[in-house]
Amino acid sequence: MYDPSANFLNVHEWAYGVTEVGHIVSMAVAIGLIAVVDLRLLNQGVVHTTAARLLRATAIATLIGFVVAITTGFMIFSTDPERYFAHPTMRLKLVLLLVALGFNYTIHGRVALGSRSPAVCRSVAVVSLSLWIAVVFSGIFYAFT
Amino acid sequence: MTLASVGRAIQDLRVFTAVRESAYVYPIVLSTHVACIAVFGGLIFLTNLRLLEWCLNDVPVPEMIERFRPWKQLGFVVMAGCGGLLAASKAAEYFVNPFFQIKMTLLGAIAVHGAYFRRSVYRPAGAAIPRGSAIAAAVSSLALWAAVVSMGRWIAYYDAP
Repeated sequence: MYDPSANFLNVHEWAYGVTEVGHIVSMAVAIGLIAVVDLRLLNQGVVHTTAARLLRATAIATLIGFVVAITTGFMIFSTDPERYFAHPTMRLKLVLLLVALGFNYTIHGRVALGSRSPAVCRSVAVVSLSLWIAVVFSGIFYAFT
Repeated sequence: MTLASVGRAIQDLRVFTAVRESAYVYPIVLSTHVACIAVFGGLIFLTNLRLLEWCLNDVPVPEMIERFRPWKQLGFVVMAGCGGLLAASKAAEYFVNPFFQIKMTLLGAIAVHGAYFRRSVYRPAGAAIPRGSAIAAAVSSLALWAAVVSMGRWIAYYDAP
């Protein structure tokens, strides 16, 4: 039987803090780089280059950000899995995260790499930004609900 | 007059008391603060990757800096505005919190960083940016911002003696 009280992060308070900082920084890297592509889809930011070029240039760093954010997220989750999993706001966050990730690696990627109309690009950028902001909001609101 | 008493006077102002006691306003302001870190942090991160010549090397640095500047300014205003609201609503605790004090010092260091590299790196198009200055500016910017975010999280872990 899994006993959370023996979890390394519960035994060492500094380790919990370090993991949370890693979660926030890596989340900022991943979402921030996607936002740069979104800004380009909105015809803002580095218009000198294409959205496709920006996406390719940032794809690896974004992926590393996601891997670290999700790994540290699971580590935090493991400190009290029953409470986290039962919590409606955390469930909402997990659903939003899956939708945002799915959107990012399908429609968002395809539109950034292809040559779509400005209206399509704008809509995709707005949906992408809204989804990621919603993920952050649900992550913070979890602690308050 | 101590820091704590100044903080107490600030957080007792009606608007900050309302923010602190509201069930929704406080988490909304905090979420906006963190969402700004995520959305606008990418602009800082990508600029630094470019200064290190790790990506987009055909995009001129001054072009990227100029194009990102208004968005960075917008992000900073919203982020700092929300941060100021959060700090003011709990000023009595925050002003004496060593992690908050370190965070504010680091933000001061970021202002110094910008002024220091203004001529050599963060400048309009012109002569090539010295490679050494670009690397120094990028590495110190990444370290400073990572430290600011870390200290921000650590504020919540401090138990006053």
